[in-house]
Amino acid sequence: MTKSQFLDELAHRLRHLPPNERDEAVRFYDEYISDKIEESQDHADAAPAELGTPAELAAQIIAVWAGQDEPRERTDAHNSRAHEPPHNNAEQERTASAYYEVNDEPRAPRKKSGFRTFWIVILAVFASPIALPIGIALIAVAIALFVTLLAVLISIAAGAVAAIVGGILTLVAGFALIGTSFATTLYLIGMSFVAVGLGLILVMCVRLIAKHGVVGLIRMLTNAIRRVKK
Amino acid sequence: MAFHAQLLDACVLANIAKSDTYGYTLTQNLKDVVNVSESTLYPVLRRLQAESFLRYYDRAYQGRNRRYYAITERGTEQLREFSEQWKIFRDKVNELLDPNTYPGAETAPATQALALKGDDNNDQIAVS
Repeated sequence: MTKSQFLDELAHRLRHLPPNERDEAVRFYDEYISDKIEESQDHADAAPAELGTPAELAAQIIAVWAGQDEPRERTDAHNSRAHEPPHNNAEQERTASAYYEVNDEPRAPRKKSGFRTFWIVILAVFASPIALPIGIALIAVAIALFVTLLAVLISIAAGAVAAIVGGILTLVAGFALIGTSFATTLYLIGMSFVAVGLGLILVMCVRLIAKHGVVGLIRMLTNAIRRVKK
Repeated sequence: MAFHAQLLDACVLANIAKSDTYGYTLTQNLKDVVNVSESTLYPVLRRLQAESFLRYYDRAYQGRNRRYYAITERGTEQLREFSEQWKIFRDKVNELLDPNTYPGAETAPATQALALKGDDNNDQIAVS
C-alpha cells in the first residue's frame, strides 16, 4: 500500500471524528511515513508495515479520542493553573515568524458534543458481531418495561379519577335526597368521603410509582449496559 | 507486552523534555526503551497534548511541514511527579528482589541481575 493509499483509507476510517482531529491524525502519519521513507534504503513509496493496517490504526485513534472525557486526577495545585496564560519562551517569540504555525496555548481538555461521542461509541459497540443482537434485545426489553410501567400508571390513575368523580357525584346525590331521607343523605355523604379519600390515595400511588419506577428502570438499564460493555 | 500506560506517558514526556522532537524521531527513541508499536504513539501524544502537557509548533523541512512537540510547564510538573513515583516503585521492587533476602539467591547469577540498578544521580530530569 502506498503512502497516499494508506492516508486516504485512514482519513476515510476517521471520518466520524471532528474534522480537526481527523486532519491532525492524518497529518501526523503523513509526516511519519515521509520520514520513514526517507530513512529507508530504497525510498520506496510504501506505508511501513509496523504501522499495521489503516483500520487498526484508526480504531486506536478513535478509542483514545472517545476516552478523553475523563481527565486524569490532578491535585488542586494543577487545577488552579488551568487558567494561567501560556508562558511564552522569549526566544520563540522573537523567531516566531520563522515558523508556519505557533501553538503556544495549552489546550484545555475539550468537551465533546455528547451526541457525537454517543454515536461513535454506538458504532464501535455495534461493530462487534456479538453486541448487535444483545443491543437489539436490550432495547426491546427497555421498551417493553417502559410500556408496562406506563400501562400500570394509567390504570391506577383511571381508578383514582373514577373514585374521586364517583365520590363527588355521590355527595351531590346525598344532598339531593336530603328532603326524602336524612339517613340516606348521611350515608351517602359518608360514602362519598370514603370514595374521594381512596381516590386521593391512588393519586399518591401514581406519583410514587412514576417517580421511583422511572428512576429505578433507568438505573437497571444502565447497569445492564455496563455489564454488557464488560 | 502491554506497557503500563502511565509509564509510557512518563517516557514520552521525558523524551520531549530533553529536547523538542518530531513524530518519527520520538518514536525511534522510545522504541529503544519501550517495546511499543508505532501505532501506539500518536494517540498517546494526542492525549498528552489535550491534557496540556505538550504543545506543538511547525517548522518547514525540505518543502514539507514538520511538527515539533515541546513540553509545557504543566507537563514538566507531571513529569516530576512521575519521576518521584517511579523512584518509590523502583526502590520497593529492588528491596523485594534483593538477592540477599532470600536463600540460595547469592549463588544464582541470574537473580542478581534482576535487581534494578538505582542510580540516583541520573534521576533528576534536567528542567530548565
